[in-house]
Amino acid sequence: MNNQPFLRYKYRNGMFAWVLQRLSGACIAFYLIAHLFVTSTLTGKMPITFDRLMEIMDKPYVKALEICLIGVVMYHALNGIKLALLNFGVPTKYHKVLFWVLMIIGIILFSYSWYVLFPWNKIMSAG
Amino acid sequence: MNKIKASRAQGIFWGVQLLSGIFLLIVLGVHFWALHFNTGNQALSYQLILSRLSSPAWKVFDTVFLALVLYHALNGVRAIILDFNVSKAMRGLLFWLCVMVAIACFIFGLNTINSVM
Repeated sequence: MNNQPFLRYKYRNGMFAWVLQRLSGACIAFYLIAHLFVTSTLTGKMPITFDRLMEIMDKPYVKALEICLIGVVMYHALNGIKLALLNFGVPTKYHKVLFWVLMIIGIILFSYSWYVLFPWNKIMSAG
Repeated sequence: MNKIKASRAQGIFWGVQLLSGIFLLIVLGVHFWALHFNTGNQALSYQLILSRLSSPAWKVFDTVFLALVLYHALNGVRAIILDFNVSKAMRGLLFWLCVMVAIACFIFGLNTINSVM
């Protein structure tokens, strides 16, 4: 047995939710830095103008990334609510039920945001 | 720092992570609503952001938001890196690196918030 194993967790139960929480958190941290850069163009002192950046943001692949971001943030927030509830005394035996109830809420919210964000009118006018 | 003191600090870091997470849920909700739903049926524009950011209340809101999100993000990144069995010396370095990145980002963001009069 290694004295310093890389991960000392059992590959079951909350492991999957936990790994996703870490991955989504890292993604959001990167997004945060990018977001701070984008908003900093409001000062007018950055090498790129706000309007030019907004043109780039309007591109379909950026829209696709934004839809992904919504999903990632929603997962992180909803699993975070689960962690908070378990931390504040909800019995841990309910962790799976709690996770899936929150994920169903997430799927509903994600579908709604997809409906709002997806450029339907552009697709329609192009067709 | 002895072992008990160190673990107590880590406990506080986790507590603040949890509380900042709960606050971020509310603050992010408001932020998202203000920028994507409360724009009077028009796309987000330079003018629209400027008129919102010129209000002192929104400046305070955004500053608090920035501080909370930076704590939550960098404490989170630190926690992820700590799971890779980081040596004791590196743990200290990592902590101060995160503090410095957070301060730099805070100043950078605050500069944006205050550039709008």
